[in-house]
Amino acid sequence: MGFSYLLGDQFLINNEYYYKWLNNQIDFIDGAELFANDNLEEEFAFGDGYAYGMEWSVEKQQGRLTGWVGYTLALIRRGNFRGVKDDIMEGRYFPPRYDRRHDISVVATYELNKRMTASATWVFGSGDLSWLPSGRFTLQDVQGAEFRTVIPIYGDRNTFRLPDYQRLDLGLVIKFFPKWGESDLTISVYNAYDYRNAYFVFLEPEFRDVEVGNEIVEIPERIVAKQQSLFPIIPSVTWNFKF
Amino acid sequence: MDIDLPAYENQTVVESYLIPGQPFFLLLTRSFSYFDPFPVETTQFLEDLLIEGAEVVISYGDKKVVLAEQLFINPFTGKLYNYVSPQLVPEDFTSEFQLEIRTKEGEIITSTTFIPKPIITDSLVVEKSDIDTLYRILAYWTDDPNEDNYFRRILNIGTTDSVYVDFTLDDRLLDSSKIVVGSGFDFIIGDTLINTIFHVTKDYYDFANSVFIAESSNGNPFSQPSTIRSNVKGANNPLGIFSGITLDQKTRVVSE
Repeated sequence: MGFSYLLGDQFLINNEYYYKWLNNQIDFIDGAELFANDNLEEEFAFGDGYAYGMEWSVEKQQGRLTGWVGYTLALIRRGNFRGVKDDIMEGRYFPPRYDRRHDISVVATYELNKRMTASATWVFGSGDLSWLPSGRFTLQDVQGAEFRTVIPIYGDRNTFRLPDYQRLDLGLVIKFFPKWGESDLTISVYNAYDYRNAYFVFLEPEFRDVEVGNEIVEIPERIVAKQQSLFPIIPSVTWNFKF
Repeated sequence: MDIDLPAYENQTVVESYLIPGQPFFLLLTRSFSYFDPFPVETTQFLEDLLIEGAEVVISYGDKKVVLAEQLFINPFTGKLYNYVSPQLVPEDFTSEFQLEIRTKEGEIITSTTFIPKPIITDSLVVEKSDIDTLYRILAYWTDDPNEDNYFRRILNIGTTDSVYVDFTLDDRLLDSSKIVVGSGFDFIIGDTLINTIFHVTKDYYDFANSVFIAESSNGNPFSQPSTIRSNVKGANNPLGIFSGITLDQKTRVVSE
């Protein structure tokens, strides 16, 4: 459900509200065994979910400067997952990884002259959710097995939110008008201020060396969180032509 | 980076394996929040880790075995336990064992298990590679096709502190009664290979696999973590495993 309103002759305001029912959702059960498994269907659980939210946007459609600003507030939950071997979280509802609460987009295009057009896109959003352990325990295990000081204890799914995501992309298109056809040169920068968005976070023990008798033994000292990012600043140049 | 993990309440962790012919023993420890610091000294580490003052009883048939609180290091395995009884696990009891633990805070933890059938390694074969001077080892044993069976295989080199391979397996993909597992051609003459086949319960199999998956999921964005599948029950959500196990350990020195 939504509405649109034209403010003056340049600005279009949009506002929408939605509610979605999600059926036939599928997910892996905890510790799903995916390899050499004749009964793979037992590793899935099936459930449902719901999603609702609100979107606002203001769009400038005319003039040398065009573009839009949009904001979305959203929530998703999935649950009631029942499987042959196991249920997920006793059937309770939980957010999926892509439950992005806030999302802001700003897109602008400016016609510098008949040959050159500059563009900018800035996106900002809540970080994705991640399933990280909240506790740890020590396991001695059977004879011959390694003694392990850090076994992660995973609780409810997707309770940790990664840092916010943001990115600025810039572009410049230069048009040429050769006699043999058309061509343009696009110079762009993806992630212009080189923001290192977290793709995932992992927890790693740091060890220190301790002398035990005549041996040096590694003993865990503390656990630190580290993030892995994917894409840094990426400039590119593209030449398009048609003849 | 600095992050705030979800709040965590310490849980009681139980580890007890009933191996026929060996004493009853149990390790009772506590879990920690993931970012809790590790103590600098070993004695402090043990003091923080071990739970004291609990009453531990294992029952089977009409017998009750009370495990006394005592630090005990198994001289054959080097494993540490804090509750032990000198009585030996019977070799011919086929019914259920029950565990009951009462902590000094009043938490009651229970579990049940049974002893799987004995396992015997039919043969341990060392084979030389056709293309170089390296050797591999093959272990054969017999499975009962009329039952669902679960195993764990650990291959140590030199001593039981050095693990070459460690995995669990079940017999659902087998259509014969012979099981064979091998290794790569990684060994040289003089290497001492200690091959242990464990016949485990489904509870232990699920527990061990959930531990493997939980460990390997950290740092892998494409993996599916696992909660720990424990078979101990209590009001405060204890973790751990109480399981009967039979095993057969054989040693072979690689020679020409």
